[in-house]
Amino acid sequence: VIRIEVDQETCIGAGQCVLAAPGYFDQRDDDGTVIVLDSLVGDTEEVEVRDAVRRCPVRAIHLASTS
Amino acid sequence: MNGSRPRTTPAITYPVERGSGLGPSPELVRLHESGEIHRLAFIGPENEVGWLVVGHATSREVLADPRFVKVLPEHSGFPQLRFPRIPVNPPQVVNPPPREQESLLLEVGGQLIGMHVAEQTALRRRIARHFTVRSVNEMTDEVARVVDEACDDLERAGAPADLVPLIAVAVPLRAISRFVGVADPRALGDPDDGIRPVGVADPGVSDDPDERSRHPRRPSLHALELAIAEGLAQGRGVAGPEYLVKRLVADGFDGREALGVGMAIAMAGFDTTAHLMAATLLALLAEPARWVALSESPERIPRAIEEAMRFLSVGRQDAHVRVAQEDVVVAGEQIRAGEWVHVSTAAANHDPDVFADPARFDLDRDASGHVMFGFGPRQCLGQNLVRLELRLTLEALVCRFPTLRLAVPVTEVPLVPEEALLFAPTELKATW
Repeated sequence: VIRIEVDQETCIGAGQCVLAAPGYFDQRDDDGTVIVLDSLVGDTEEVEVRDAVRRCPVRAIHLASTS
Repeated sequence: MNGSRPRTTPAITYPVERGSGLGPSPELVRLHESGEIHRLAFIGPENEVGWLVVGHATSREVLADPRFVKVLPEHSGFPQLRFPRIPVNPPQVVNPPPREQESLLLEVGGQLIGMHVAEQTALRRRIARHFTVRSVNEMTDEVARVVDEACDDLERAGAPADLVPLIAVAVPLRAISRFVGVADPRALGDPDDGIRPVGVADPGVSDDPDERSRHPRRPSLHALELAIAEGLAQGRGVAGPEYLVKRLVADGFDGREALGVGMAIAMAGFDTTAHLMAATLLALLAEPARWVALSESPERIPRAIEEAMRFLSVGRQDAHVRVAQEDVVVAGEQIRAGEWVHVSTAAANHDPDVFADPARFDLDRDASGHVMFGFGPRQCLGQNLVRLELRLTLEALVCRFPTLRLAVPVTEVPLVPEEALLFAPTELKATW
């Protein structure tokens, strides 16, 4: 299983993760920074979550393997 | 600079020729064959040799690395990129705008594009909530109205009509005006003036009437500030009560600060988007089959837009010039403190290791990850609004004008001058 980890301090609220994987990411109303809607990635959505990781301009999203 | 360092022969010399296609210069793209980063020779008073990054991965690395500091074109020694007619010495501002307005734009709005990444990021964080995907999508009805009006104007004009003023300039002008809260869009620009080439003997925005009369297309900073202040005073009626400047004041910005940000966003969001929209329409109409495909399957439009952004890379190349603050190794090359680095986002978007067969414009390509909007903490703040404007415009056009096609051969479409910093056609006569 893959777990999503985000760095709130680095996030600039560009919203690219929301475009890539809207089921997993949203943005806070007060400062636009990332909200993780579901931190455990299902097999079928792994591609879009990896796309979100790739598109983040400040590399604030990381994936960790978890058992 | 370390004097003992051997000088290798530069792989490329600026400025480069644009080439005959709609994509980046073939001279730049060819460099992918021999590496991610190259020595670059350019015309400049201080450094004659710098670095050019063409690889996609290395471009992202440099643009996200705080050891590479952004330098504005006003800085002395700024390299010439592709505009041979600008003098080698830093150009003098013939008629600087009055101090008050200059400082308002530069001190407040200028932080957003300025050299200090900490300052830029701090201000960006304070306004980011108004540029989120959800926040921008709340503008959908507003932008759709602007698009409908523009399509009505196109219909009224009758075929053949020029898509540049009627669509590519009119939509971004009115959309950004409503987003920011500019009471009268004419303070920012006029669709009838068409595309305003960027970086071409640019007199700058001037408040001197003589200067303006020689360059009637350039808006006056003063007029823009007044038009935003007017929108703020009205409170309602510009784009409804929710436009940016009003929201910033509600967030606790003082009026002067909100005006400065509004001016910067209005200026940043108009010409660039107009160029991109004009260039995208040209790319889509260049092959009649592309327009047919999109009118039959409008759900392909979002992908087509990302591909147009990748392929055309309509971004100011002078936005991606950096100076190394310390010695840094990049893609195996030792870059010394003080050396200039130009990241060619256009070349990066044509990196064959990331985008297979990059010279092919492919409507169905997954072009996400392109760097047209830059990368790192300075990546374009307004990119979600740009995507919304393009999507709504193309959706409306393919629905209302499914038989739209160029009225002249694609090779005869007039383009901005070779030395312009942003690519676009200046006229796009189309029929339907």
